[in-house]
Amino acid sequence: MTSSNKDIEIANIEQTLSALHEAKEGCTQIHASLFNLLMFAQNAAHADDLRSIINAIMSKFPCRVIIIQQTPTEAQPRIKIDVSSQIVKKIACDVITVDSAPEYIQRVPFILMPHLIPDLPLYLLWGSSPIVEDPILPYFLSIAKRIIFSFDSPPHDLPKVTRKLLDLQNSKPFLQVTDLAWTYITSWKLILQQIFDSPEEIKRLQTATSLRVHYNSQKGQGITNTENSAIYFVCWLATRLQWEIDSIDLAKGQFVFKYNKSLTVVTIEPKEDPERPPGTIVSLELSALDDYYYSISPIPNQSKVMVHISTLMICELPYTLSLPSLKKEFPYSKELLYTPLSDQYKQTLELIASL
Amino acid sequence: MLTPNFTNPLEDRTNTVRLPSPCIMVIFGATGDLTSRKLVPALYNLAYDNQLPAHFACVGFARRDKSNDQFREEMRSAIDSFSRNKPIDPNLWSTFREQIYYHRSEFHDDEGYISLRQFLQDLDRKYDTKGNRVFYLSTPPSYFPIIIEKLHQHQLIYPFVSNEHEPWSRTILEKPFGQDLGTAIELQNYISKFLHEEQTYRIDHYLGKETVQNLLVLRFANQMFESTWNNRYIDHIQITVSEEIGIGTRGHFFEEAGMLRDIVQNHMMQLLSLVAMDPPANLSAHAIHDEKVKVLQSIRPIPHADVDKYVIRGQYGRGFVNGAAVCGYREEKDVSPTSSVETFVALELYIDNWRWSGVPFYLRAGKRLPKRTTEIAIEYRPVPSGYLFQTSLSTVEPNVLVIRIQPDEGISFKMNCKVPGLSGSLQPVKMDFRYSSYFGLTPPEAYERLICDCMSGDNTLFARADELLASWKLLTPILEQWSKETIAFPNYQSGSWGPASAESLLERNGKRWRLL
Repeated sequence: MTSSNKDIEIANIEQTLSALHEAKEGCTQIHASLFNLLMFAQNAAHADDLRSIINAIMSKFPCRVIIIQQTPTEAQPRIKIDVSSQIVKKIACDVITVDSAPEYIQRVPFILMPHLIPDLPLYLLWGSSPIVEDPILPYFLSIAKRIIFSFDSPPHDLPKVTRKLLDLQNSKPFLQVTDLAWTYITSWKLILQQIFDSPEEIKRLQTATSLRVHYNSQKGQGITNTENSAIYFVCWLATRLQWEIDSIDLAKGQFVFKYNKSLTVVTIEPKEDPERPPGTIVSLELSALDDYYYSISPIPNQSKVMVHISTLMICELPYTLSLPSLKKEFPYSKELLYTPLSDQYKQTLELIASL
Repeated sequence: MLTPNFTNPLEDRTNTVRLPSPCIMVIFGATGDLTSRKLVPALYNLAYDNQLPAHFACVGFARRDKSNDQFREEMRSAIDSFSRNKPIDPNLWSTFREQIYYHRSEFHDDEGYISLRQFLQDLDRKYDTKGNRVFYLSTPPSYFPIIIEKLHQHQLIYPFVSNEHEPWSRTILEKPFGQDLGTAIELQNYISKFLHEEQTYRIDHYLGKETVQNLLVLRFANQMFESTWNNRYIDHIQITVSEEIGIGTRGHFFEEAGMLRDIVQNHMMQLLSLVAMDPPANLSAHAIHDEKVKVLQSIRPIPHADVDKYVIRGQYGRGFVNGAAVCGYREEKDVSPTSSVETFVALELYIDNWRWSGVPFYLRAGKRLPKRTTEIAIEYRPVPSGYLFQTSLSTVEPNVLVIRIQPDEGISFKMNCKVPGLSGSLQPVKMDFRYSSYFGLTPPEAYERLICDCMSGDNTLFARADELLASWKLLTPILEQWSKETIAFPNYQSGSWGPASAESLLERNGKRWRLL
């Protein structure tokens, strides 16, 4: 449930929010904030993608949400401000939305600074590439607790992007840096961990002959470069198994990774899957020594994958593992905000940066 | 052959998702209330939240004749009634139901255990559960010894190994653990022949509640509380477990147990030890249990002669709860009309250690009280009297920190504030944190957390043997003294806050029970 006031004066932001709360007096609602969550999107399409994440976060953790959206230049460039109170499960969250023409974007931090709730952490959900010069990000970096990038960079830019992420992390000791492409592979990392859960299984994975990673290549409004999560996944796996990448070839839309000390050939292959968000991993196929074959594919209409393991002699009964649906609702709010940044993330960034 | 101390390179220890080990859970007493009201709904909720192991099966073990399908249907309606995720998700249920089985046997029948062993091995092959077992003894405690002995005899309980990649077996025991110190020691000595302490999970569902777990965070992650958490700043502590309900259909059980055994010996002593313990060396189960035991061992014993001075017992008579007339305890079903079983207990305890010397801990637990509340109240010492602000216009009330465990979990803090205006009046105000206001999501039920912990081999939130024995050691003299004396029951009206003598317990020290 939302109630809002559109196009209000800058000076009236807090006053209007208070009026919205007062208007709801008598309703059984509680007004609460655990943190400030500031979202920036360079265009409306990307903003729509990020809003679904914001909504999922708000449904679990009440917060003050501030949305900055850059809108195309109109005949009369301007800054437009809306405020609203969004009620989720009887808890009301403030939402302040700023639509700004590019000409005025530099003013936005100065408008918003007074409206961050003091003493509560500031999380940034930043819909822009870290390598693009950003006129407003520096104002928030020094006061934020964590920044979560959502970028749509082409694969050939990934080394530059990841280097920039590492630099940012190293230069700001109080800031935690992460990105959505990493968060999107959380479930697949867990799936692999559950399947390969003994020294024998790990050995089999380490000496696999081929791994095929299918990703959803269907482009979205905000995401056009759909390979990035799959590349993260493959590079994460390489760091875990000490595979040293020898070459990466791109042919017929497929990325082929070859390794120095391993027989493994990893391919990242596009596969259109309207059931999943753009760029997410769809399924895995793995062939290993002794004719082991693993197929891990999603079960339609369920938040699960089916795992088939077979050899020439044995065909084990398939079993299921959890794969939360990213399409229905973003399931990683807790991971995004509260999970400490892991060494595995840093190692994956370092590997990609070195490519 | 598995390598000891194998660390999976794919595991990311920063991940917040816990993956309990593959296992089969066998519930003894599967046709009982606890299974349908709590255990199976808890398993379903774990499956719903993707917290159940991928390789998992559940076997209900009980004496009644029943098919797998009958048992599954009963469990389906139990989930429909008691799960926090309602209505049942048909997709999830279609998978979950196939993981539930029923095994009929008497608890003493060897054949039943022989066939169980074979059955579990078959399920291991089907579900790849790697031989891991959780045995949940949801039976009257009198069956614990025979079930554990039979499980051991038929190699269903494995010798304990610390390597988590070897097949393991763990046994969860429901309360009560013994009837007094003697029977608790006897039970402990008996089961320890078959079960290592690390394999023994004595459940106290209070420890699975979020607010109880938050106690350690509140105390040890907030400098301002821990630095004042001692006899220099704290006047006294009140712990209350009040219920408005009577004993319902538990007459048989309650006639044997009474409030001291049913609530104080386990739940309240656990709360007391968490409130009073010193900071543990680390957050391992051992370190936390060690500190809790130290507290329990430091509680000043109550000799037989002093029981009446420090302990008040009561039994409810007729009265009114929520406006409705209710019967007295002695008129309840399966209760003796001359019963001397207590439905209310209040205690004054002292912990003789450096931190708590001289600070009274008041505990009260009762049935048919005006409302359902469980809370811990820390009342701070008053500011020096007659010096500032203590005028004819106002009194300075002590600060009170209240940790509400149920319902409406949260924490409040009472402090003094100036009433606006020209006069110098003071008014206590309350800062209130409610879990539901900030974390609107429904927290997992206590049983979900505890079952998941057991599957993961974490016994932090379970009671260790020495904790229970220390608690029994303290309370057994009270039970012994009571058994020698008769008391005029009933001595409090249903819907009141207990017998008048409970008020006197505090009033003689110039204190009062909090208004709840």
